[in-house]
Amino acid sequence: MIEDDHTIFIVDDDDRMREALCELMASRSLRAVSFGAVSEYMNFSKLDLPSCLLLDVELPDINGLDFQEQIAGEQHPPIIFITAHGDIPASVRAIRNGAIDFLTKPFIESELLEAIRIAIAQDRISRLARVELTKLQHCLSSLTPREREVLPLVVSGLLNKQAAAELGISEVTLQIHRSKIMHKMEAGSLADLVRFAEKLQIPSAWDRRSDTS
Amino acid sequence: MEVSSSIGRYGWIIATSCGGLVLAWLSGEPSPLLAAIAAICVYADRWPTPLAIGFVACILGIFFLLPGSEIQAELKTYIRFSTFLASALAISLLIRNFQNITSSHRVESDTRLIVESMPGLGWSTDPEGNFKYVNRSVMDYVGIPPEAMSRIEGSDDFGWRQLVHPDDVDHAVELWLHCLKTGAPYETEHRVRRFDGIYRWFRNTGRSSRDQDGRITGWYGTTIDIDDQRKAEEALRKSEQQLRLLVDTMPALVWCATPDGEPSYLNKRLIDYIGLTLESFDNPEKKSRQSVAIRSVVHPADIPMMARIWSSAVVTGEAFTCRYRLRRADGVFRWVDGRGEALRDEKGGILQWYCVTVDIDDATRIQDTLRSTLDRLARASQAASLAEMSASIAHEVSQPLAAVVTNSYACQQWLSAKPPNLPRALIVMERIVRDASSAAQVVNRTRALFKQDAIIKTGLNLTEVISEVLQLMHDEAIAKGVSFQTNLEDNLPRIVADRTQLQQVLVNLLRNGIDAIDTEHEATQPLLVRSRLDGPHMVLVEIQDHGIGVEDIEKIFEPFFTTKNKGMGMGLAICRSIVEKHGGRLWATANDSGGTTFSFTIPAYADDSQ
Repeated sequence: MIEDDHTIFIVDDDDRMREALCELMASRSLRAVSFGAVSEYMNFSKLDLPSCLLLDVELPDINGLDFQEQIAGEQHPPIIFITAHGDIPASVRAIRNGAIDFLTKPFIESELLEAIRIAIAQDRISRLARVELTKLQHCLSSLTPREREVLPLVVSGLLNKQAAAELGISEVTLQIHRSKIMHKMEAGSLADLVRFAEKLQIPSAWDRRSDTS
Repeated sequence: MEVSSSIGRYGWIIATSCGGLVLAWLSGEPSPLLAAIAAICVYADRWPTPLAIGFVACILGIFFLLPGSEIQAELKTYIRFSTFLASALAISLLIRNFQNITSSHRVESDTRLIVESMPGLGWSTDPEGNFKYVNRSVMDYVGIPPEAMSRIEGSDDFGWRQLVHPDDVDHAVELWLHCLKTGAPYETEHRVRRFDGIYRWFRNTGRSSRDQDGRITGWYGTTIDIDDQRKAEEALRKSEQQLRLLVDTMPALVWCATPDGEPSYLNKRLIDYIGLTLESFDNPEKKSRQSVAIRSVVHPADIPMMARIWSSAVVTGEAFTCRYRLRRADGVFRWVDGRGEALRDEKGGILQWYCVTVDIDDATRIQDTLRSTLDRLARASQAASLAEMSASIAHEVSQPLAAVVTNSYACQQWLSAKPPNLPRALIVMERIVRDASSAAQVVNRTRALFKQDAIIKTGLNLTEVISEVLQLMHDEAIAKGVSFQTNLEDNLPRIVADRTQLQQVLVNLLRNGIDAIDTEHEATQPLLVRSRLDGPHMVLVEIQDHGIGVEDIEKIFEPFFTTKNKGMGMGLAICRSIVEKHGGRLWATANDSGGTTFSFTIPAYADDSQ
């Protein structure tokens, strides 16, 4: 089902449940690591692989839902909750905070496996996005200060003449800056550059000017 | 020569007049007749004197002067006769006048003595109301020397007026004139100026003195200083007024009753509250105010209780408290707290009942609401703990079951693999067995938790069991001020029961009874335990309390129903199930005299030889 490398993390305080889950993962050729508490999971040095977390709600050290809120905003594999006594408010809270699924024990195998598949796929995509962003950030950091001033004006859709006037430089100089930027950002076209700028969340100079006017 | 008795006086007069007559007869001279005339004048005080004298003189003159008279001597005779008549008239007038003077002098000298020796200010006046005499105390008090006083005494225009307070003088003079006219006793209170110019209150009392003809001869009176008394009265009145004001304004309904329980006073607040006055309790049938009052202001349901408490308080004289519903003027019945206490004299006899009634309706309502809220809370917390317990049981069961299910999926997978991974499947199967058994154990444990122990029925002597339990409960009962009273029938057949469970039932019922008796508010009646035969095959046990009673006699046997702050409300439910398991019955009945009786039956031992 999942061919590539992956890891499934399991956090459940019940030994028998952990054991059974690991067994089920093994029977499905899924690689799983299990922990009895959140702290154990956090201390574990994880491989950089697409992964997901099967998380029990009632845990000895911290409530699973609280843990989810704690790590919100950090880079973290998607979470699938498994609980013995779930209620509607808890499930709503979990899903709203980005959980893939909220399963009640004993769960149906197919539902669990589907959730795991979705979670791994999602993690894989977000990993790729993260890699691309890192590369773009690296490119951005290679720009000179002047080039960084030029970039927002270019991606805002200003004509060379306008952008040059904005900065008080000649059109020719601006064109030199622009070609250097295209090169450094590894952009094949202006459209690419605009897309990159969007990912890097570079604000549009046009918007700024229209704001001030 | 003094003759004090009137008989002696008359004897003297008759003797004198007879002597005069005899002397005149013998001597033929009429002059001794003057003595007889004088005597008649003194004696005949009440007759029109000159006429009488004239008549008597004529008779006597004719009698003495006519015989042996000569014509020529006629003129001389008439002159003598006239002279005699004039002398007789003069004597009679003199006597008359002197009589008045002496009598008045005698009276005055007598009264001077009396007035002088009188305590307080004494005075006397002539019939016209002018001072004739005032005693020394008067002069000392008003600070007027005797000479000045005698001028006042002598004046004809009520000189004493200057001594009376200007505000009082008009009334005093008016009354005095009225009394002088009618002869009615003079009695008034007015202020009199003291020597230092301070006016003090006096009570002035005067009586007329009359002679034998009923004519007023003078007035005598005393003037008594009542200033201190008046001030004390004033202070008393003021303090009474203040007290009344206090009683009327304080936020309580106050009433008083006579020793025999008749309402005698209602304060203003109470009158306003019930909209009735004391007089409205009067009735034409002459029934007591008390019964009318109770009937018109107390809630019909509370009348018997109120009447009982009140009449017992009146009989015993003990202070009472009671809570009842009082009818307000607008017809609304409100809960009040009534208290009464008797005021006693030094011999312990009741003088008066003082009673206070406080409206506690709002407080009672709040309390009721609070109580029902607490009840609901208690139920809720019980339900919550039940929910908690069931959740914990569910968790205990669902965990191994979830593992079983998960392992089953894995096992399925191992078996359906190609080739099947049998060793791995076996391992998982073992785990499935293990976890499933564990779940089953939880279920068994839970059942054991709620299951009662097995009953071991034996033949028991019921009286013995009851005595044991009473001994066991003795300390607890003493601590709560409750005593036991037993009425256990001898020679009861043995019963078939589990000793421990029977004890449990008895303990539970006794404890309920102890808790039901409100020792703080009522004279404690003992908790009565009775046993007797009920038909040929049953033994009946009754536990009777005189406590607060229960509202719903069947509801108390429901699980989780409780009237107590503590406790799960399982006691009576368990008791009933135990008794029923023994083939008996447990029920409760409300006593006519208050409180509850719990009764249960237990079958007698069939093979009992007794």
